[in-house]
Amino acid sequence: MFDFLFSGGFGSFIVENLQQFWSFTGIHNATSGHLIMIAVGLIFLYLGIAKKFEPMLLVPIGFGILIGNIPFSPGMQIGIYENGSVLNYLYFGVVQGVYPPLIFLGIGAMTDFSALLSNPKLMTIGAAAQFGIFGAYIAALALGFTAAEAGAIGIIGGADGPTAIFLASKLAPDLMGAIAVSAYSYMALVPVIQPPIMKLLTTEKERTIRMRPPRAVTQREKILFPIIGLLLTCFLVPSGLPLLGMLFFGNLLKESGVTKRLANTASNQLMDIVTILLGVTVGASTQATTFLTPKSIMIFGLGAASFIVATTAGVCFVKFLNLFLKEGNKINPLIGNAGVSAVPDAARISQEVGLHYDRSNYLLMHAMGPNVAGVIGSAVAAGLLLGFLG
Amino acid sequence: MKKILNIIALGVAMFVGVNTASAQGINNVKINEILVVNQNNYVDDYGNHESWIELMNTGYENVNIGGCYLGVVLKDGQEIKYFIPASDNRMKLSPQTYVVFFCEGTDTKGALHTNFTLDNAEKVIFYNANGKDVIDEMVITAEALTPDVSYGRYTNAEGDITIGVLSSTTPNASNENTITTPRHEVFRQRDKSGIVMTLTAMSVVFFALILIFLVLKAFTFLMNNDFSKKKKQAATAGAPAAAEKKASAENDEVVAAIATALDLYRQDLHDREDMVITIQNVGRRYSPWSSKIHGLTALPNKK
Repeated sequence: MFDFLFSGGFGSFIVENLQQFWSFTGIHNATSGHLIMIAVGLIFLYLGIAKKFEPMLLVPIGFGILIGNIPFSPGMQIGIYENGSVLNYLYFGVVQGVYPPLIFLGIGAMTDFSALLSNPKLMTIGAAAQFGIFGAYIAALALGFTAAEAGAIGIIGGADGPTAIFLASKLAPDLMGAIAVSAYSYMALVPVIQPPIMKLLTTEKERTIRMRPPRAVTQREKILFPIIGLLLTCFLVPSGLPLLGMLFFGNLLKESGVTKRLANTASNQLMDIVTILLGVTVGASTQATTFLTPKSIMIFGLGAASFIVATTAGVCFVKFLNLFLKEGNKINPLIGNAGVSAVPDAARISQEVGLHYDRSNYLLMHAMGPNVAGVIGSAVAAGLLLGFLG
Repeated sequence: MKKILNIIALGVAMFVGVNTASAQGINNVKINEILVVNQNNYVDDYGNHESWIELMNTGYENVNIGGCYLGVVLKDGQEIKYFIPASDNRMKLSPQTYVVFFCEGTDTKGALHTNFTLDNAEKVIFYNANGKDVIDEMVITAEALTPDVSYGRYTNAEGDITIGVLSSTTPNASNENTITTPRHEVFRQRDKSGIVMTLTAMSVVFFALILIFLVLKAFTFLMNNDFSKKKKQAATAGAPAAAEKKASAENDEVVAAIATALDLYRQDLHDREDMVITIQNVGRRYSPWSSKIHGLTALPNKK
C-alpha cells in the first residue's frame, strides 16, 4: 500500500533526513559531562531562587550553564566558542574584558564610601584581606600551574567576580569559566564560609567591642575621594586603570550631585544589562568539554582556600591593629572578614555575627569601610598581577 | 568681547591639542632594524641588494612620517639627511606597521630610496619635520657590519626592549621572531615559590591604601582647620551677628508655627476626626450573558 513512498528512493530520503535530524539533536549528542554540568546549573538556580544566595548572579550564571551545556552538533554556529555565533559575539565582552569595567562603573555609582571616609584606618583591613589572593597564588604555583594561571586563580580570593573575570581574560583565558564560576560560587557562599572562621578566631569579649559611631562626612570629602583615589592608585598601579578608573568615575557621578541621571543609568540600567550579559555568557562558557577537567576541580579547591585565607587575614589583622589602639578606639574584629570585596554580603555577615553576640551592636556601617576598601584593594592587586605577569 | 576671547582660546587650545597629538604620534616611530651589509638578503624593488633601514610605528595611532628626515652621521662627522616625501602614501604608517628605506645613495629611484648609504655610517638618525629634533637614533656598532646580519630592537629574556644583533633579518615584520619565554614564566623562574610576588604586591596594596588614608586625613584636617578658623572668626568678630541669627531662626520657627495653626484653623482640620471614612466594595459582576449589547441585532453595514 505504501510502496509508492519507497519508490525512487523517496522513503530512503525521508529516513536519511530523519537520521540526520537525529544526529543534530541534543539527545544524540549528550554526554555524561553535559548532564553533570546541567545538574550544576540547576543547583545554581536552586541556590539563587530557593535559598536566595546572590540571586542576581547565580540565576543568570545558572541559566547560562544550562544554555552552554545543551548538546549540539558542532559547526552550526550556535555554541559560545564557535566564531560567528550570537553567544560568541556576546562572549566577546568577557574575553576582551569589556564587561568587568562597566560593572565597576555601576558599583562605583552605587557605593557610598562615607563609612570608609569617616574612619579611613579601616582601609588597611581591606588591604590585609588581599592575602587571600596571594595565598592562593602560592598554592597554585605549588600545584604546578603557570605563574599567569596562578595569578588568575589567586584573584578569586579577592572575592570580586568582575575583577576575577577581567584578570582571567588577560592571564588565563582558557581557565576563565572555572575561575568565574568559582569566584561567584564562593561569593554566594560567603554566609556559609566566613562565620565559623570569624567565631574561631575571636574571643567573646572581642566580638562585643563597640565601635565609635562614624562621623558625618561632608559632600566635599565625598567628591574629592574618587578623584584622589584615582590619581593615587592609578599613578601607582596603572595596569589597574580599567577597573579603578571606572569605579572612581562611577562614584564621582554619584557624589558630584550634578550627574544624577548618569549615576542612575550606571547603577541601574547599565549595571543590569551588563550583569545579565556577563552572567549568562560566563555561565554558558562552562561547556562540559572545556570545564570538566582536573584543573577546574583544583581551581575550586584553591578558591575555597583563598576565601578562608582572606577572611583569616582580615580578622587577624584587626586583632593586630587593636594591640596599638587605645581603649574606646578599638575595632571589632568581626568586621575583619569584610576586607574581602564581596559587597555588601561580607559586611552583612559582620552585622549578623555581631548581633548574635550583642543584640544592640550594629556593625554594618563599620564593616562597609573595609568592604569597599577591599574593592579598591583587590583591583590594585589585580593591576599588580597583570603588570607582573601579563 | 569675552565670548570672542573664549572662542579664540578654545581654538588655540584645539590647535595645540591637535599638534600635540600629532607630535606624540611621530614620537612613536622608531628605527626598528638596519642591515648594513646586504649580500644575499632582502632585495629592493629593482632587484638589488642594498643596505636598508626599517622604521616602525610602535604606537597605536596612524602616523605620517612624510616631511620628516632620515639621516646618517658618517665616521668623519659629516651629516647627511634625506627628506622623506610628504605626498607618498607609503609614508602613512598604521599602528604597529613598518616601512623599509633602501640606502643606496641615489634620489632617483623613488621615495623609499635614500640619498645616502650606510658605508662609513656611524649613526642612523630619524628627525622630525624641522630636521633638527631627534626622534630616534641607532648607533652602528662593529657587530652590525657582519654581512646579512641585521641589527635592531628586540625584547630580551627579562622582557626589556634592547638593541643588538638579531637572530634573523625581518624586514617589514616584527623582530620578535624568535621563541621567547613568556613574561610570566621568566617571573616564575626568578620567584618559584611566589613569596617575592606576595611580599611585593602586598606591600604595594598596603602602600596604596595607606597613601589614600594619609591624603584623606590631610584633606580632612585642612578642611576642618579652615572651618575652625572661620568659626573662630565668627566667634570673635561676629558674636552679636550669631546671636541675631539665632534669634532670627527662633522667630522664623514661631512664625511658621503661627502660620500652620492659622492654616489648620481655616481648613478646620483636627488631629482626630469624629468620623471614619471607609471604602465599600461594590461588586458589579460582568457577564456576556447578561450584557445588553449581545442581545441587540447588529445593523447591516451599508457601503
